[in-house]
Amino acid sequence: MPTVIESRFLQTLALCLCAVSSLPVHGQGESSPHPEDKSRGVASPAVDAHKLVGIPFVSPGEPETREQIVEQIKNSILHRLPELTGYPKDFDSLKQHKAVALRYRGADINPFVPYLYQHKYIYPIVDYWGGEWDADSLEEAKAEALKQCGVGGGSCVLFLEDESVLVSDKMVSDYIGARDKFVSEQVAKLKAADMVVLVQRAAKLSVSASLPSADQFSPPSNKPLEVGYPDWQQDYASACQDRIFYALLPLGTQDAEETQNNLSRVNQTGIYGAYDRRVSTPDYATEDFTTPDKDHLTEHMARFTRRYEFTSDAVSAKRVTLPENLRDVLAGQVIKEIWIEGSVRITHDNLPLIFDQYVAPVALRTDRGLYLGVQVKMPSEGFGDCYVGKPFSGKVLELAGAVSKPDYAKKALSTLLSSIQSTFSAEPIAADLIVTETFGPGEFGMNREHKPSYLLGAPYYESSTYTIETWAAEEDNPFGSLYGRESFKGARSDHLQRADQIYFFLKVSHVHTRAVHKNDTYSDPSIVEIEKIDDGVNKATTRALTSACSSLKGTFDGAMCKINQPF
Amino acid sequence: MNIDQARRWLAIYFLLVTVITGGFLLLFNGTTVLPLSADDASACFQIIIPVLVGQVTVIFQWIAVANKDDPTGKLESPVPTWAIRLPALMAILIVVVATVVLAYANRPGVNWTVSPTTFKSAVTFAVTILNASTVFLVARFFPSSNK
Repeated sequence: MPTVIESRFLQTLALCLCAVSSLPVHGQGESSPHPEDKSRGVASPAVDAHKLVGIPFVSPGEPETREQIVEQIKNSILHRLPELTGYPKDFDSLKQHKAVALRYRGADINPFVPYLYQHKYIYPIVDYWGGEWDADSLEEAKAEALKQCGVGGGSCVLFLEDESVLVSDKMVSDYIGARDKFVSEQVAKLKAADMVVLVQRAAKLSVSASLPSADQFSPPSNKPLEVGYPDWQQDYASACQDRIFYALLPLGTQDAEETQNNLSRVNQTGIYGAYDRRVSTPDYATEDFTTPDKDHLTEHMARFTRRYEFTSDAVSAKRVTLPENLRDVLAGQVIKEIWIEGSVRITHDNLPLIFDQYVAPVALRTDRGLYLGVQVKMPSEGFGDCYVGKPFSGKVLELAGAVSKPDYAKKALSTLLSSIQSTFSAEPIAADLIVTETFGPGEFGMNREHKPSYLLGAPYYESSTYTIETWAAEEDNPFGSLYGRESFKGARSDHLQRADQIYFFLKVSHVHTRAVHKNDTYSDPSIVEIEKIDDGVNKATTRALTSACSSLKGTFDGAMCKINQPF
Repeated sequence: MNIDQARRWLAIYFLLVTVITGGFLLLFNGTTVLPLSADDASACFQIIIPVLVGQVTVIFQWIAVANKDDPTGKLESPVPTWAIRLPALMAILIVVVATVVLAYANRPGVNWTVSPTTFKSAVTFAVTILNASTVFLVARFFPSSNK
């Protein structure tokens, strides 16, 4: 059996092979709510890149000072310490020797996370070697470190006990040179990028592909609108996706009327532009994940556009979160209105199931004017370096010891799903199983269509859906959980054969609309009502877990059930 | 019916209908007896209450300066009784029936298609009837002092 280090090495090797084989990389991933336009038959309107603001590799302001660049280099190294093997894992361990030298071999830019003006995207190539000398004072340690680094500390970054950092002029100039080279390459590639003005695409799609839906639903209003292209925080995503980003087009007055008409219209449209997406990120990034594949699970998706108005600074109030490139561009401005395009997983009967976490900025009105959102898809970099892991969350079952076998896993999953279905069938949720839709392994959906709401009480009626998803894995962040996301659905014996323990992860998604009168238009609940509904669903889920754990002879701590004896 | 009786009937009618309708829309929206959202209830309030309050204003403007010994009050009303009472009663009947039907249609298992939109239409219709009939009588029975 390979050791952990060997296993990591093999995983890394597999990653490299996978990355090399992914020529050329398309910057797109599984959870994109905004798939390839050409696959949808909507032509991309021409956009002049010179008019865009918020391009991640074009500085939003004045050139940085040397001090700012040094600070970014320092933060970049510290930020990456926990991720890198062979380095001290935190700054405290660096500081214990009063001064530490990190030798560097050059500077590079990570093209897959291309926002240059934040520390995590600066990529000095460093080798840790310092810190072994025995110094009594800071000055003594510093002198020793400089001596080790060579004349002038030319190839070192020095971290000192007082949290200051010394970076040689050569390293700063190397970094600036690397960045300038990267920027000039990207600016050249920008000419070949696909750019789509989102409001124009939404207007076309909403006319040609609107779907019948009487209910008006939006992302939950008790959570901030998270604007941005989905990244590694999403369920299914890879850093490769960062080759797609949103920029802004400051609007001239000549386009105002047509734009306003389009914005008004798409805001009143229900859901539109249905498409299927694959659950797993393709192994080869040249594949279009929006194209269904008979060998892969797909999810049926649709888009919707909504407008939000703010009376105060929405970003400061955390009602809107923006990606760094847009945040820097809009710094000092107050967002008055925002139109977003979101995507939602739907049944083939157009029932909404699960909202995607991230939304696209269709338009923004600030105190300085109107901006249109533009989706920019950069051409391939020609090589791959994708991050392929994605931690699972919502761990609810742990099978250890004698029961960490696929047969027990299947039985445990079946018990868990039955318990949830039974609990959700009873009041206060009182939902019915959706039998007209095909769900993936370890999934099912329930709904309560235009019936009295026991969660909200009389006289409310509700139109609600509940989607239960489960994943089984041997650890929280198994290698390949991104590319092979669908392999972790259900309890597949080929994935769980050699596990020392088996975890089950649960996600319960629900979409609610409600009306005071059952024949009225069903619309989003208020924040107070959402909290009431969330509370009811959470309590029901806990009841279901408690019941399942009891059936499985496990011990339940309120969040997770541990099982280590046969059931 | 003499003129005094007609005036008294109209004054009590408009005062009661204004207070009861306004209070009902304000206090009972979102409940089982008035299953309307706050927005819909507000819309109904804005449709009906200004008209009713306008009539109450005209009536009490007259009452405020009325002479108790006005001999004209004992005269026979020139307007037939049915013309005084029927439109006003029909209007309030429409609102009452619409409310009952709205509440009943909201019961589980009832397949009536009556919706808040229907209710708003009924309220608008009732106001239209009052505007086309009783409003003119109020102007005649409660003339302003300068006429």
